Amino acid sequence: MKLTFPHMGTLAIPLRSLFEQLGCDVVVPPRTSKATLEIGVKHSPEFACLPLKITLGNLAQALELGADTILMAGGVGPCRFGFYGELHREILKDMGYDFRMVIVDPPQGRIRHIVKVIRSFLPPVTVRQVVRACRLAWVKLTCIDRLEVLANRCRAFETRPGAVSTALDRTLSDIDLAESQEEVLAAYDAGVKRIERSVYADGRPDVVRIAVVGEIYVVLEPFANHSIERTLGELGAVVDRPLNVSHWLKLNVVLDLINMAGGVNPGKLARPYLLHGVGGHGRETIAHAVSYARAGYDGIIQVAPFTCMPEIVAESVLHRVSREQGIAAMTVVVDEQTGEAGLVTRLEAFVDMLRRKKAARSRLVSV
Amino acid sequence: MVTIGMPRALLYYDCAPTWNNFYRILGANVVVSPATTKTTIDAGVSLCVDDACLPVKIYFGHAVALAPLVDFLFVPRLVSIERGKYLCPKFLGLPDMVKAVLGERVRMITPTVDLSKSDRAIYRAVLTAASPITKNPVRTIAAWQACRRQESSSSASSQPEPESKVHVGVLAHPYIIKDAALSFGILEKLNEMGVQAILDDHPKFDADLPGTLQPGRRIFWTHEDRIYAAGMTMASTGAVDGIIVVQAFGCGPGSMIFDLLIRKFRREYSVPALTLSIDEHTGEAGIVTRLEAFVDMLLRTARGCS
Ligand code: SF4
Ligand code: SF4
Repeated sequence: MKLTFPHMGTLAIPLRSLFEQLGCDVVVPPRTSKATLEIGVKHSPEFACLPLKITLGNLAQALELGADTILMAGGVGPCRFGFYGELHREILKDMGYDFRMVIVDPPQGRIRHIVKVIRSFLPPVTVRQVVRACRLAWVKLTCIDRLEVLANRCRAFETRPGAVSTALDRTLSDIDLAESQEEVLAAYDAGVKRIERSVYADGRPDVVRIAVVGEIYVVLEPFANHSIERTLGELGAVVDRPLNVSHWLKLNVVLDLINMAGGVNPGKLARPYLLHGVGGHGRETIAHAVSYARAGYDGIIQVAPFTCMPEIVAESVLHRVSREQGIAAMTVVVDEQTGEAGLVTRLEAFVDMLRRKKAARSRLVSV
Repeated sequence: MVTIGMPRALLYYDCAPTWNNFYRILGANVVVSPATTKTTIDAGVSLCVDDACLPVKIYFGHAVALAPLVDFLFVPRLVSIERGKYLCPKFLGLPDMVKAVLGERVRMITPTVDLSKSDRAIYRAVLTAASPITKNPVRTIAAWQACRRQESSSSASSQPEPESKVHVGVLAHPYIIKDAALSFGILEKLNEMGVQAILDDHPKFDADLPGTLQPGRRIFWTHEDRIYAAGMTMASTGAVDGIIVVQAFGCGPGSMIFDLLIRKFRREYSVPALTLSIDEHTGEAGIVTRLEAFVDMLLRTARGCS
């Protein structure tokens, strides 16, 4: 058996580690690229959301490399994500592939069930092996999440364009290769030093602070958002991204307690703008917008796939949040036609606008 | 007397008779917005975010037309109208979307209907819905039960089906196909062409179809589940000569389920199918041409066989 799963940001690093430690043969799909997107767009329904198309491309590429078992997360509504696996299976069948698809639904309290589904394709393992594998994967996951937070805060201060991203990429691949917790932690420490070495110690005066929120897949996948965090960082913005892979896992696989996402209580924060969850991360988008406005950030960027239902709801409400909470907001809708150049221009204009606003405000204060 | 406004859009086509009746029994005045026109569409398009689907934009058009005429706009939050299933996420956020745009212009009644876990949850929604008129729970529940009773006695009537050579299954959300302006009067046009259209809400498609999904999984959207079951039944029983899918451009749930259906039609049943996607830029001429060509093809095949 050769197991595969779609990419989402850096999710493949902990997942590969987990299943290899459990004795599986894992085929990680090739890095998401133009070719991936083309396969996905060609075979997906026209109005499917971008994540469905890209992940379909990932799976097809992995099947080409010999994978024969696909692991997908499921869901019970109301968003489309819960149905991805079913559609992927039918499309891949029509493309002529032969494989087995395992869809793991959020347990909704039934941990037993999830264990059964996962054991159905695993080779026999001992409990100790399972504990060890889970620990290692979890350590990798949390180290990666922290490094990304650090990199996003530091890019605005880098000594040389791209220095922070290079340091980050190198550390991520070290973590990917690490085979024990000690190795992971060593790679992490080295990575932190590497990032710190590539920034000026005394910062720069004109930074603005921006939070990137929105639909989790396109927020986490640099290919889908044209490396928005990196671009913003290099334009001189300190970036915060409240969503990360561990939140997603907690939400979809491990706990699925709705109020765990992003470490905030979205229900409370989103009041009075959005009084009910709308699937996906729609309500989190609004909750985050409110909490960053209160924390004094300069701007919010919502990234959403074209036709994404929860984010369309959030976008409709975001104008009101922006108006009433006094934080600038911008929505970036991505699909297969989004061009990088156009996006960079919009981001530049947004950062400039924030900078001017900030300068005007500080003049007022100093007078 | 309190005047309640009912936008003629979205779930109006599923739920309005009950709610209208309910408010009338309670002694309120109910105003329903007139049928969709070009003006409704334009107003909706200008108020709503660009990325929304046309049915949601049209809802805004109806809501803004009603706002000056009523004391309250009735914008329910329909999370789920049956156990274990949901509506499209846009229904879940509808009151908030409308409030963000029309918030200052009109007061709104926004009961939450979430029957995903229990049917009894409807009573909370009913009490909220009645609150601007009466806070008396006994009166409210009595009114609700009265209108449910009237409903069940009247729903038995069904129309006789005219004879026709060609039968076409029409798969679409009710708020698209039953809104003649939104769907370019497709149903009427089919009728004029002598084709019998069969909708997915026909009682004979009520069956719970054993899906082809992974065992234990099912479609978790109310409309889509029904459409899928109806489509599969139409195709597998040969009850129709062709199938027309009418969907909103950019419809989320539709993009998944219609695609799944069309794959199955092609792979397993070879039923001819036509897909029409509709948004504010769609021209009537294009739709009519494609419809006519499709029906011609079906008529030719029917004649060829007989
Ligand atoms: S959240 Fe948006 S992009 Fe993600 S599955 Fe749902 S509709 Fe698609
Ligand atoms: S189901 Fe489709 S058409 Fe209906 S509101 Fe949702 S996206 Fe729009």
